[in-house]
Amino acid sequence: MATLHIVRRSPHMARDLERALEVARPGSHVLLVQDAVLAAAEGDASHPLLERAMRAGVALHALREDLASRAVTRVGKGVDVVDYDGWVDLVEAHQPVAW
Amino acid sequence: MRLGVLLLDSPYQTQDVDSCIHFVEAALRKGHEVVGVFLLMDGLYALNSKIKAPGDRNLAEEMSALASRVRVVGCGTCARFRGVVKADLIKGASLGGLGELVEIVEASDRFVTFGG
Amino acid sequence: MGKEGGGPEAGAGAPPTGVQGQGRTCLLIRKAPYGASNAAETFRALQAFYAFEKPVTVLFVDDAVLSLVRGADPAGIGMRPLSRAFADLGALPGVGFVVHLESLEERGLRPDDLEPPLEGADAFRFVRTADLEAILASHKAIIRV
Repeated sequence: MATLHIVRRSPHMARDLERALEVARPGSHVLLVQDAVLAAAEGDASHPLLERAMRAGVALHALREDLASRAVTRVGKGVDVVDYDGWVDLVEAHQPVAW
Repeated sequence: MRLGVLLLDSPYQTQDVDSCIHFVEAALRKGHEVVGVFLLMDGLYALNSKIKAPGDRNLAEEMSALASRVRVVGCGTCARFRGVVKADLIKGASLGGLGELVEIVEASDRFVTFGG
Repeated sequence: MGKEGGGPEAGAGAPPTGVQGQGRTCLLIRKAPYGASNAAETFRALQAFYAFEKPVTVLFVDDAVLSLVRGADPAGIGMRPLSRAFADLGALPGVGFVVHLESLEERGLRPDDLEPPLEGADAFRFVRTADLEAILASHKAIIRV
């Protein structure tokens, strides 16, 4: 079973996203929620980090409601936007770990 | 799936109580079983029925609505350390020991932590 | 649980010692002790899993590696030391401690800087980042206090 890494803190304020991406193996998933959705913004400094992870086979997701609340309208290419139902589906399909 | 949840943060201080409630409600809406929500550390404050939130969402009321549908248990020791007593608890919630967390984990297929 | 053989990285990539299928819970801890109560709460949660005879792994990542460090003296901040008591719990049947090596290295620490396991008990398992996800995946639930 693949792992779902759930990250909630801003990449600019904490090392959580970096750690999750270091740990995630190809075939695993990373879900950005709350302030961590900033990493999904097209122009964010995290962009190269996310791109590298996606190229290595890690699937990136970001929560729609949190993106909207942070005024992120354009997400980086390849980032899958999900709602709370989608979050539930991701947890059902994979082993969740909260960073 | 059978879902178990741990909540560590207090209402309003961070978004975690909100995320937890929205997530659990979505799981219930999709027909999943929520085995229980266990509250530890500052999560205990989410069970305080004395919360007033003028002009804003009332997270204690939202937790109480959840507690009418799923098992909501706060850690008794954490409550003591925070001055939250049984009489203060929202309707439907209870205080228990960490053994109840163990039970929830054992009965779950998936376990998600909020806050911390 | 079997004895760990070889150096600190022996067994990296293999399931944690004592894992029997999908029944084991992982307590993941990342925060340092004293600055936050998460490490102390993990200690209490560990006692509960042991008391209810449920096999459990404690995985120390990031600042949480300090939970086991030797020479910590929190008397001046009014707190009680955690490291020796925590290390002792690692000796209980059904309990396994896994410590993240890169987290030690980032902090200028080595396995030697940690409280040793109780005499006669299994060694702590030291693992690298590359092996962390496999360890997480081998547990039925991950509780991150």
